[in-house]
Amino acid sequence: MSAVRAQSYLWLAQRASAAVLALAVIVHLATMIIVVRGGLSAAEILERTRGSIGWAVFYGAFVLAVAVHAPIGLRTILAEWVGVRGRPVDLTLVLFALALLASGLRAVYAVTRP
Amino acid sequence: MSAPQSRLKERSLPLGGTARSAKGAHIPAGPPQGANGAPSGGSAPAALTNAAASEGVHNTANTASYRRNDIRAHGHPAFWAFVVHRVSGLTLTLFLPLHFWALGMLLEEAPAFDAFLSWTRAPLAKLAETLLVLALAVHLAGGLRLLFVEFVGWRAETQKTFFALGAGAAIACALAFALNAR
Repeated sequence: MSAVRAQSYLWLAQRASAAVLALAVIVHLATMIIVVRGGLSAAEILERTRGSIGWAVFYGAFVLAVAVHAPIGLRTILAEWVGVRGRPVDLTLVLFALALLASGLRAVYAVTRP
Repeated sequence: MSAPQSRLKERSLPLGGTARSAKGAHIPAGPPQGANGAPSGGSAPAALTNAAASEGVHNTANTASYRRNDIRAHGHPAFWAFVVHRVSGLTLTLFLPLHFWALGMLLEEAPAFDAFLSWTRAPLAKLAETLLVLALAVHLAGGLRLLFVEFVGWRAETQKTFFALGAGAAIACALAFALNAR
């Protein structure tokens, strides 16, 4: 894949994930502002989310979009502000994306499992 | 992709200052500059400078011209919108692993998670949480603005209104969180 084509896909992935995140973050902000009112606790969080397929799907999509979006943004910052780019950086960022995805999905499972 | 490139050129004009500076820049094909948020106007000067650097542009006069444009662009609200968007995104990215790790505690150790939550009730932790909510809200507002600019249209006269609305909504979110938090 040519570098230009790869950049095009990254641009597209960044925008597509941003569109998902726009909706997810609005819901997340509203949820945080509401649930924090009573004070947070493990029991309170689990009562809301445990066994909920709806929250599992929502947070799963949220994590997937974040795992795509954040490393691409980080790649731009590393290239423009730090001046590091190239295959080793890209491979590290792929690993970072996978780590975010795995730890994020683990967190989703932790709060939504039956 | 020629469309994003041509749009970049058009949109970089208000910040680049002159049509000459935009024309003079050697911009590689494709949307990488778009990925840097260039269509917002905010990062266009940086994109131009980077493009010049990465393409090996050694013309001193041109380089000086980019730098002058950079400085002028720094006074534009779009530049600060770009900086805020980037810094908030970086902050959120660095926070994510901690967030996921903490929530992952609920898999086995609810008491450990509650102990962690009690630690977050300290005033400084509350302040940090509120700043994270502000970062999330401000990044959302900046992202919506970028999506709007890229997929709907760029109009110079509405940009400052976007910045003001985004900043206002983000601060309102952070305040709502801070006032509700216990």
